[in-house]
Parts: sequence; structure tokens; C-alpha cells
Amino acid sequence: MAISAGFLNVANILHNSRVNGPGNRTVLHLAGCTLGCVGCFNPELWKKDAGTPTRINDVLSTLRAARAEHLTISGGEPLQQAEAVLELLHRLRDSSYCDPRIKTVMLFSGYYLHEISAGVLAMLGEYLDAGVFGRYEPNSVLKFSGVGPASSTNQHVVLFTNKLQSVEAQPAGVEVLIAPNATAVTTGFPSKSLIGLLSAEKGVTQ
Amino acid sequence: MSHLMIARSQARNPAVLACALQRMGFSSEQVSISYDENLIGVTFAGQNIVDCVVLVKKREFRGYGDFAAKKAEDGTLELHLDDMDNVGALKNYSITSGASLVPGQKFTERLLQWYAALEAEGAMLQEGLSPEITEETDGQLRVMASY
Repeated sequence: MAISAGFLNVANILHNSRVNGPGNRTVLHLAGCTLGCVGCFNPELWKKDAGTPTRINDVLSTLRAARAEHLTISGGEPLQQAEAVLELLHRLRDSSYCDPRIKTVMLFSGYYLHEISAGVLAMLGEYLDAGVFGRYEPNSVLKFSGVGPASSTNQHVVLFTNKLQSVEAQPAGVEVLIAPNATAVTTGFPSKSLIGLLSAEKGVTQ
Repeated sequence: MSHLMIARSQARNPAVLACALQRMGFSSEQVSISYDENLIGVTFAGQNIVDCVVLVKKREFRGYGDFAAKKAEDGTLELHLDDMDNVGALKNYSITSGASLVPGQKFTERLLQWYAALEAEGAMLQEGLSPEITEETDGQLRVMASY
């Protein structure tokens, strides 16, 4: 499935998350990832068809309607649709596209910094406040204590501005958001065993 | 017109359902549990609801009929209650007892939302975490824990 220019392959947009970076964040999950990290938290988002090609303007409209304050871009692998991600980040800077402005933006990528082209990295540095880079490696899993949102020790938390300095002090966490219709979304850094315990068999309908 | 409704659910654990009922404003004395499935509820029309595992008598919330939960063949719990109580007496009792419901939300919807939250809380406790449940202004329940 080819994604046209001007479109993001969106798996879901989750509002009011508290465990995907500091503050009350909207999380944009993009679908499609070929990195295949063993123990990945979101393997269901590896396939491109786990997402819906969505116009960037429509993503901005959704953020605007929800009055999103802070944005986290995750996946899947956001940088496997880097052109569209950069276009989104560029437009977020423009109040004619997104008003009120998003206060902070962070991004999770499985790529190490040296794997990202200099041009893309420069633009990420211009648009992002923080990023977490590197594969998830289950053999170097953190004990999640005051280490920020990285989920394995090999990953790098990069602060591009001073707006998200608290990110490094924020302990990693997990949250389950249960909507009024009792459907639940689990996000953050749940262990495999916790995911098993949170199955629909327990009445936590995902 | 008042009539018995049966709501299917993913819930399986009577004890957790009883805890969810307490989050909806009922005291532990008002909620009966039987793992022997021998509780009997009564509908508005006077018919028995037999083999129940959880029961709240209608006198507790001034309803048309009792609130009862029965095990379905697949082990999930079926909620038996009067449809009018779902939007009336049960819901009103909960609200006056301090439970918060989203406008338009039925009693069973909030109850099963709490059931899911308590199961999530229990799963996190089992993992050695210290979860907290918070009620959000948009009606969501958030179960959150840090490592």
C-alpha cells in the first residue's frame, strides 16, 4: 500500500495520555514499521494496513478540535514516513493551520541517530522538543526508574529545546484509559505479562 | 413500558463486579455474592431470576426490579435488570451516592467501565505496581502506574 504525499498513515490518535511524555499529551500512532524489534510494545502497528491514509490537514483538524496541548508521535515507525511527519511538524508551527498552538512535540523512533539522514535530523531538531531514538532491546530493558520515556537502556533521549527537560526525570509508566462505553486503550510501557493480564478475557475490552 | 433487560458483558468475576457496584454507590451490605449461584432476584412482573451470583435487591435503590448478575455458558456475566432502572432508579441512586456518570450514560455502561478499571488495577497490582484510578472530566476512567 503506497501512501500519497500529504498523507500520514494513521493507526489512531489518543487524547489525554499521561505516560507518553510529560503533561497531558495527544499521541499520534502511525502505522508501518519494518524494524521488527523483538518485544516491541506495538507489533500490531508494524503492518501498513494497520493504519488509514489520512490527510495531514485532517490530522491538524483533529488536534485542533481536541484542543491538544502536547503531542507525541509514535508508531509504528514515524520516520518511515518522514516526509509527511516533517510536513506535519512544519504546519504545527503555523497558527493558521493549528490554533491553539501545540506547546511541545516529542517523537519516538526506533532509528538510532546515526541512521537518520543529516537533513531529516536537522529538521527534527528544528521542530521537536524531545525525541527518543533507537531500537527497543528486550535484553537491556530499564527498570523504569527516573529514566524518562526510553524503554531500553540503549535508547537515547534527546532534548532539542529546554521545554521538556522534565522528560528525563519522568518515570516510565503504563495507563489504561477506559471510555464511557467501557472500551479500553492501554498505552505507555506495559510489560508482556501485564498485557496478558489486561486481556479482553478480564473484561478490559481493548 | 418497564421490562427486564439482559446485558451481555465481558465481565467474569463476581467479586470484581461487586466492587464495581460499590464504586457506583452501593455498600458491601447492599450487594450479595454467591459463588454457588444460588441467589434469586425478582423482576417487576414478579418473575424469579434464578442462579444469580450477584444481587442487589430493588428496595435498596427503590427500583422496579432487582439487579442481578448470572453466569452465561461461556463464563461471562449477564446483567439482569429493569430497563427503566438502568436509566432511572439505579442511575439516580448512584448519582445521589456520589458516583459520576457522563450525561446520557446508562447505569450498566458506567458499571462495566468501573469493572474494567478495577480489573486493570488488579492486573497492575499483580505486576507489583501501585496504580491509581482517576475519573477524568470527559468521563474516561484512567488507571495509571509508574515503574
